[in-house]
Amino acid sequence: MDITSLNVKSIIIDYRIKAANVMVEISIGDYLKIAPEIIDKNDFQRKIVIKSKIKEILREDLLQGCSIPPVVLSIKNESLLQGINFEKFNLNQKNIVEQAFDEKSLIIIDGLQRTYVMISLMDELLKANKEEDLNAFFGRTIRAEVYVGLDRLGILYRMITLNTGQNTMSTRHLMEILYFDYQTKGVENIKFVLDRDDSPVRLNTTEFVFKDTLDGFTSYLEKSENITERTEILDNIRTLKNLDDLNKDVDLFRGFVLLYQKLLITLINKTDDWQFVSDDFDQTEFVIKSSPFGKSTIEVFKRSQSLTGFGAALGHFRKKIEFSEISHMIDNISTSENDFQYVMKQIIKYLDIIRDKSKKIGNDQRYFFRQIYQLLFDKSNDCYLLFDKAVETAFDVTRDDKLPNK
Amino acid sequence: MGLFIPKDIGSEEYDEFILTEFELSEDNFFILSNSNDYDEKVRIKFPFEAKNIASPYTASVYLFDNQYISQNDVIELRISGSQNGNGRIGYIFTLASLIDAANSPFNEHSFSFAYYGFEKLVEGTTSCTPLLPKAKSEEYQLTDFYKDNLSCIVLCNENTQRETDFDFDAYLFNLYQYGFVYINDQQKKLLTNKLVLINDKFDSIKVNSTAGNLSLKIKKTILDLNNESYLGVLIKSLVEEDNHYLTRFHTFYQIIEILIDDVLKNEIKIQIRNISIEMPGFKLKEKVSKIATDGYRINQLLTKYCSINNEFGKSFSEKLKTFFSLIAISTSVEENDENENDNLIELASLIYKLRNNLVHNYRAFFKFSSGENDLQSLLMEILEYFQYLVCEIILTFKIPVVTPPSS
Repeated sequence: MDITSLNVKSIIIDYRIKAANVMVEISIGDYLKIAPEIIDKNDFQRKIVIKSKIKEILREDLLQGCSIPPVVLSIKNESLLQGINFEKFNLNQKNIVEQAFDEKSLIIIDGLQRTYVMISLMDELLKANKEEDLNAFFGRTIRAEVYVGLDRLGILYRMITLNTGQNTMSTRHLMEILYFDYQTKGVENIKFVLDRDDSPVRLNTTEFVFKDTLDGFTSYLEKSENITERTEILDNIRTLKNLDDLNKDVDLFRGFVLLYQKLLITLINKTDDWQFVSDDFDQTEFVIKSSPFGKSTIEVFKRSQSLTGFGAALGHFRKKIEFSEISHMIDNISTSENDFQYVMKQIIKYLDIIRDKSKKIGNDQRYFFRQIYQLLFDKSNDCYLLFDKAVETAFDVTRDDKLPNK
Repeated sequence: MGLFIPKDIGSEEYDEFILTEFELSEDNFFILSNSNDYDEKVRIKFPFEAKNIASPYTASVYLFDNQYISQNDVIELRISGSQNGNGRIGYIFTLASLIDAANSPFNEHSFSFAYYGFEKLVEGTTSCTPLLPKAKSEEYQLTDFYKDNLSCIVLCNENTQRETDFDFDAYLFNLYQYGFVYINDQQKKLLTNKLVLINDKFDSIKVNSTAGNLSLKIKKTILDLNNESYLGVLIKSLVEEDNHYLTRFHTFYQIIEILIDDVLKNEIKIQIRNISIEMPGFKLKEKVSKIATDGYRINQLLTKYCSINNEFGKSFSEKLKTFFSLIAISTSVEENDENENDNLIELASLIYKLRNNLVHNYRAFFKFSSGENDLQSLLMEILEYFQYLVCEIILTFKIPVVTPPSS
C-alpha cells in the first residue's frame, strides 16, 4: 500500500443519510499524494478561491504545526460500495476505506480550501528546496472523516448541511449534479446536448438541450415555471428532501423526460407538423410584430418556455395525477371548434403579444404555457383536453395577470 | 464605488468589490475583485455575445421606475432644441432586457448602450444605490443588485458634452410626465402616478415612432435648477415617496409657493414701470394689494407665466369640483368675461381653494363618513393631476420680459 500512514480510528453510523462515518488519521504527506487528483474528481464542488489573507494565516499556522478540523471525504467508486450494509459497517471492513485511498477514489465533501492551502504550501516548500520544513510538514497528522455508502443525493445533502464553501447552489445546479450521468447516457432514445441559450432548436424529438430539460424538471419539483438563480441553504435542503421523497420507487427525471417527449410527438402529429408560413400572418387576424416564437410545432414546444410551463403544471398536479394518467390524457387531446393548425397560429400570435407588452418576456411566456397545460389536464374545467379552449383561456389569464391593463 | 458582497453567508458585514476585467470566453463575464483582497473575485454574467460594441465611450446611467415600458421597448432618447444632429443623447430600456439574451430587443445602435450600461451597473456607479445580496457566491446575476422591473437611461457622455450647459436633471420633470420616476433607493416603497394622461403620453412614443425604432424627444425646464435646489430634491427624491396625501400635497405645493413669489416681484416691477404722475396713489395701492393675494398670483401663474393645456385644466377642474361637492363646499367662481383661459382661471381658483381647505378646514373632510374611501381615492387622483400640473408649471414657467412704457 502506498498510503502507509492511514489509520482507521472509529466508525459512527449516520442513519439520516444512510452511511457509515469512518474517522481516519493520515499524514499530510500521504494526504497530499491523493489530494491533487481527488480535487478534480469532485464534480459537485465549484472551485472557490480562498481569500488570500485567510490563506496566508492558515499557511503560517500549518508551517508551525497547527491542528485543523477533519476534512470530510466520501468514497466515489460505487463498485467498492456494492453489497455494503451501512448499518453493519465495522472495523473488519476497513480495507474498503484503505482501497479507496489507494485508488484515489474519493471526493472532498468539506475541506477543499484547506486542501488547496496544503497543496500550495507543499509546492512552495518544494520550489524553495526547504527539505527539512517539507518533511516536518509531510510528517504531521490530520484527521479525515470518510463517508461510506453515501449516494449522490446523500453527498449533496451532507455538503449543503456542512455548508461547504459557504455557498448555496441554485436548484438548477443541484439538478445538474444529480443527473449529470444522463447527460452522457441519455434516456432511452433521447440524447442530451449542451447547446448555448441562444442556439437554434434542434428539430427532432430525440435530442433535447440538457439545461432546458433540467429547468423543466426543476419547475416540476418547485411547482414554478420561473427558475430562480439564487436560493437559500434551506431551499436546497428542502429540494433534496422533496426529491428523496418523490424518487422512492421511480426515476422521476426519466419519467418526466419521456412524458414530455410523448407530448411533443403527439402535438406534432395532431397539428400535422404545422409550419410557419408568413402569408398566414400578414394582414390577417394573426398579424404579428416580431419574428415568430417558433416556425414549426416542434420549434415552439421544444423551447424552454414550454418545458418549464409543462413542468410547473405537472408540479401543480403532483400527488393528484400520476404521470401514467397524464400520458393517457396526452393521447386524448383534441379541439372543440378550431383545428390544431389554427390553434398553432393563435399560439404564435399570443406569444407575440406577450413579447410586445410584457415587462419580463421569458417569464410571462412560461406562465402562458403553464396555463395551457394546467387547463388541458384539469378535469374540473371546461378546457379539459381541449387544445383550442385551453390556449385561448391561457392567454386571457396571462393577459389579466401579467400584461398592462391597457 | 463598487458592489457590496457579504463577507460570509448571512453576514451583515460587506466587502466592496470593484470591476477589474471583462472575461471573454464561451460565456462572457464582468470580473470584480475584493478591494481589500484582490485575489478574491466574483463574476457577473453578461448574457450577450460581446461583439459589435462601438469603440469605448463613457456612459452615465440613471435608473427609473416606469409602469408602461415593456421588455421589448428600446427608446432612443433625444433632446429638444439640440444643435447637434438629431440630438440623440442615449437610450432607455428595461433592466429585464439586459438579462434575457433570448429576447434581446437591441439593434446594432442600441446594443453598445446596453453593454456600457451593464458595465456601469456592475461598477455600481449609477444614480441608484445597488442592493446588498444576502448570499455569498462566486457568481452573481445583475438582479442580485438591481430590481429587474426598473428601467435605465444610458447617456453617452461624449454626446451630452456637445450640448451647451447640459444638465440631465433639467429633463427629469418631462420624463416624469412620460411615467419615468427617478429612483435612487430601490428599498423605498414607491408611489406610482396612475394618471391616464401619463399612460397616454407614454403610448404616444409608440404612436409617433416608426415600428421598431422608438424615439422620445424630451424638453428641459426653463427654470435654472441651480438657483432653486428644491426642484432637484423634489424630482429625484420626494416624488417617489409613498407618503400621506397631506404631505404629498404640501411637497408639491412648495413649487407654487416658490414661483408665486417670483410672480409677485415681477408684477410689482410691472406696476412700478407703468406708474405715472396721473395715477392716484390709492389705485396703485389697490393694484399692489391685489397682486399680494395668493389667489391672484396663482391665477397669474397658470394663465400668464406658464403654458398649461386648457383641456388638461378642464378635466382637472372637474375632478376638483366633484371632490368639493362630496364635502359640500361651494365652488362657485366669479363670473368673468369670456376668456380663452377660462378653464385655467377656474383651475387656479380651485387649487387655491384646495390648499385653503387642506390647511384651514381639513376637519371638513371627515364630516361625511359615508363614502370615505371614495373621497380618499378621489383625493389621491387629484394629487396625481396636481403632480402632473406642477411638472408642467416647472417646464413652462417663464417670466415675461417687462417692457418700459412708451413715453
